[in-house]
Amino acid sequence: MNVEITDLTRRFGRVRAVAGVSLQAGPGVLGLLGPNGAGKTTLLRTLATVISPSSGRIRLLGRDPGAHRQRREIRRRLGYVPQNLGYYPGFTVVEFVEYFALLKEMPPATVSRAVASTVERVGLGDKATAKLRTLSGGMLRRVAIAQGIVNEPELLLLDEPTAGLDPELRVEFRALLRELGQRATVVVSTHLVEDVGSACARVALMDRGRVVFHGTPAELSARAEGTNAAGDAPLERGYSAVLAESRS
Amino acid sequence: MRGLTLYLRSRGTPMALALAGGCAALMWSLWSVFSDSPTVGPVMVILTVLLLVAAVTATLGGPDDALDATAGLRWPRRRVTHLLAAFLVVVVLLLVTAATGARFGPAGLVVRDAAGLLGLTALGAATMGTARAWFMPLGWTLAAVLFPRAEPLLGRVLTWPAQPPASTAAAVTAGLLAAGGLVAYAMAGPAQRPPAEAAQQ
Repeated sequence: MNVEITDLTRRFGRVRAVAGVSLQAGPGVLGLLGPNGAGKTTLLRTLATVISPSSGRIRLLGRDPGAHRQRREIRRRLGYVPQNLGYYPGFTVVEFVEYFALLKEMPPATVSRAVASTVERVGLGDKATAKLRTLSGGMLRRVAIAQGIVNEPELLLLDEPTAGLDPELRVEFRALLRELGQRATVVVSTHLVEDVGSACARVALMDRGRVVFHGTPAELSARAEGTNAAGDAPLERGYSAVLAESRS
Repeated sequence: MRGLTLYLRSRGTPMALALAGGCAALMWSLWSVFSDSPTVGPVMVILTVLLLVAAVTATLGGPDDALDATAGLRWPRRRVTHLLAAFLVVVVLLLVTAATGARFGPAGLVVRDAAGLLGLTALGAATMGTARAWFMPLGWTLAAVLFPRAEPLLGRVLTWPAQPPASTAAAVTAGLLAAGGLVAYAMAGPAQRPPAEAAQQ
């Protein structure tokens, strides 16, 4: 298993953003579903080694992120796409992706080719030398994704990656997600159930800091059977049914 | 080298250096025009050190510190180098004036205040984030300049930025702040805001 989480809790003051989560994930795409404020971003940031857990145990790619040397090894093999990308006004698309390739300590000789192919891969080849400040929101999302995959990560963490993408790009992105999931463990947080239905082999549903469901999309859909849960599609009804059950 | 260039640009270093150089030039010009003395007064020196420290403070964090933190670099080593380079920028910019008609000094005062205030800023960056890191140096320095105390010992400690260069209490306080800030910033890096959901539940 590339991700092993046992009884993970993360507090901010009195708030428990993540409350006793246990989860495992191997290669493939795991969808992290849940309403706003469910704890998805905190869980992803913890997996990205940006914040440390208040309690509980994590192993990533067979290593302990709490140990300094192992944490560096994890980070070199990790890709992280945050929900909101910081503003790097003077950078071009290529410079931005190159910067993160170098931060991941990729061998300098391989960087320029990897950057060029990654920029093409996310469909920004014609914008390679454009300044980030001139790009639209959807293009910036693609730049963020590019920096996350430039090092061919074994573990890729994406926080709401389809937010701000138009429907056409969203479809393209889901195809990219499926492709990435063939080689790596991909954890993608979203509140759009259609992202999960088309790209994820497994899904974990979070609510109020806890994982209230973990299974396949088909199993989530099946949870709506025999209920009058709201939703336009089976997966949406399953989502609503599990949330209603966990809150009752 | 390419990585270093991109790192410095991501931190807004060219702008910060220009700002620091501009502040030093402005203060030097003001003293040259409005004073007949070749030695800049201590209050002017202290405030200029503060301005220069504030100018380099912005480089202690990047546009996306959470994303930076996922890098596989030896961050503590890089952060220590960054702080030492910032310290050198502040000190060198002021001490080169020794060869001019408006001298910022003595060197002991410049070095002490630059080290202490930069340490305080680094401490602020590690605990409150880069955006608020200059609050503490600004407040402390202004209070020390406006209400300096030569006695008792606690007074010398609390108003260390405005004490004479020979003050042992001020030097020790500045040294402790410099060391504390260096260690805190090197180990923790710039503090990050918790995710919005931390306040939603």
